[in-house]
Amino acid sequence: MTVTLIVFLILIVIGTPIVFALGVSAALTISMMDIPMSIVSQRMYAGLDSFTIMAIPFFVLAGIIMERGGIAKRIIDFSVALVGWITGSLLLVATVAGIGMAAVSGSGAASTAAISSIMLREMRERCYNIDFSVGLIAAAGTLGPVIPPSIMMVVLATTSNLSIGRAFLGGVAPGLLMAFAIMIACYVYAKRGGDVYRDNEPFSLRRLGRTFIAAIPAFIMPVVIVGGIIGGIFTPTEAAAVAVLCGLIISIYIYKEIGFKAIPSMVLRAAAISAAVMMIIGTASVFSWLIASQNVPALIADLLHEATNNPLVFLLLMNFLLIFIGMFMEGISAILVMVPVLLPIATSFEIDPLHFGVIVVMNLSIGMITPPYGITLYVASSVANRSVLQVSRKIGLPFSLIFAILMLTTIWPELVTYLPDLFLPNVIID
Amino acid sequence: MVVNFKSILIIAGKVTAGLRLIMTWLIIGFFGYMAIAVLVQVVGRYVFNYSIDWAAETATFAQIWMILLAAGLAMRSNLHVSVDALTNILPVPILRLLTIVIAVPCLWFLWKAIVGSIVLIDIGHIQTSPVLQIPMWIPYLALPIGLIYFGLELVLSLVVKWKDPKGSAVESEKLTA
Repeated sequence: MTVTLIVFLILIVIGTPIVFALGVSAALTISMMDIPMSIVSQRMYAGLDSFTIMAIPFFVLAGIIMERGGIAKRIIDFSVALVGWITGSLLLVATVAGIGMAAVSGSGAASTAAISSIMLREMRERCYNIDFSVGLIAAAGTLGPVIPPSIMMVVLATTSNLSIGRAFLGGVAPGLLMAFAIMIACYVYAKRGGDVYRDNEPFSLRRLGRTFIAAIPAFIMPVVIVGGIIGGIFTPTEAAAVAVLCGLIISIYIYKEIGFKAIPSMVLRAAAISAAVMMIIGTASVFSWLIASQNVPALIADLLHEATNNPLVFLLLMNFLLIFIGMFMEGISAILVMVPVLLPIATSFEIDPLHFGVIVVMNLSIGMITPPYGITLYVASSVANRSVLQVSRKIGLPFSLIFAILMLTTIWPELVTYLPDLFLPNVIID
Repeated sequence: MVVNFKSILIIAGKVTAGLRLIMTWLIIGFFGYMAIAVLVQVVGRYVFNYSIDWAAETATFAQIWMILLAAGLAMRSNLHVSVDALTNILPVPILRLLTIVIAVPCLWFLWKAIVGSIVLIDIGHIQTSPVLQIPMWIPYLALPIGLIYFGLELVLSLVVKWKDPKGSAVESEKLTA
């Protein structure tokens, strides 16, 4: 077992793609033990042989359709009408647009790319501090995986045998609180920043109405997806397929920004991104099967229980561990590697698996803005032509406020479990 | 001799391009079937009040084929994530050496998985799927074919990375979901 872990760590450090780092270390261990090698192929097949997990390619495709189909622009226009009159207007607009994009798309990076390519130019023209603005757009991108729909939540739910619907609902309250925290960061920064940030457009009810009507098709998406799942109308996979259909209808027939010709390239892109995620699911399942068969979680749990029996202490330790991992590793792969080890330990501390899972997702979303590897930070700074290092100096304020919400969620489980218990009390698995 | 070597390269390039084109359309086809089958299932349940079991089963098989073929496509687009924060600071010659060092165990793993999947296909000749009684070697066959294509794209990516060891690392981050 030690060999597996050491090989895995070496492979990761020298930059091996994670799908192979998991596969190679697992296959190496299997070849040393008396187990047939076909278990590797079998596990990889089993990882893909699932109707539930089909939600991933569909959500990825729906996200790409929305990114290219003009939905982001309408959401930003509506956000401008909604909060553009407050001090620090553009920063607040970016955050509200972040909430909107999180509610239609399954990933953080896609929405960050859309928002930063539209908004950064105007922020520059109005002489906003560009590094803070970039950091803030990146921070708004962390809402993506927490607010449903979310690819990270689908992966979390399937790896820890939770209902996807409950996981989605569990992210709503923490996600909105995170958004609120980011807005406070905008306001505080803008207040201290001087006159530049007070250059606002006056509030206009007519404009709010007009932009709202233009954005209605975009708002139909979360209603169909989340409402459909809560109401028991669709399974998550069906909801994701319906999201693809809705996205196509909206982009092609209502916003008229793309045509049928755009479909093959979007499908290919979605296929490649999903394959990158789902191949890791396959090799990670071999890896975690080995870890579990060696009783690693139980060993760690015993060690921890000797030190403390307090679930809160465990959760705090876990937060620091995951923030650290999030600095170097992409979220979905981190879930696939860490959750099979951490979840049994969490349950041994009598922590609710859903509460635990949402905390994991929040941690790894925060990992998207922590250097050196933070995907939304990277995307936003490359759009602005700034280096990640320059932007990271300004990330402190939004980071610490989001971190405060993470701490609040850690000590207050009902924040996660209240909505799922209210709407989907009896659902165990979709 | 030199001319011969060149013409071999040209032919190899054409074969690769043709193979990629076939893979591209297969992937689009499987993805499209998957989406339509799931939507048909929804429509069947609510409009015609008729449960279509075969839709879920065939959609899952299409997913298996789609993902395994797209693994190579993802390799080509440099979408397989890795932790490169630590290696990015290394000088170019060492990075080049590392790409080769990394590729060796990866190819070994693919080889093991391909061999293992042949065993599965043998079993698949006697198994059938629960709903449509489809012989299971049909979905299992996606494993060796997808993994061989994955390996091919891995080898081809070495050429790209050799020429530009740092650029590709940046590209992969930009494209990830």
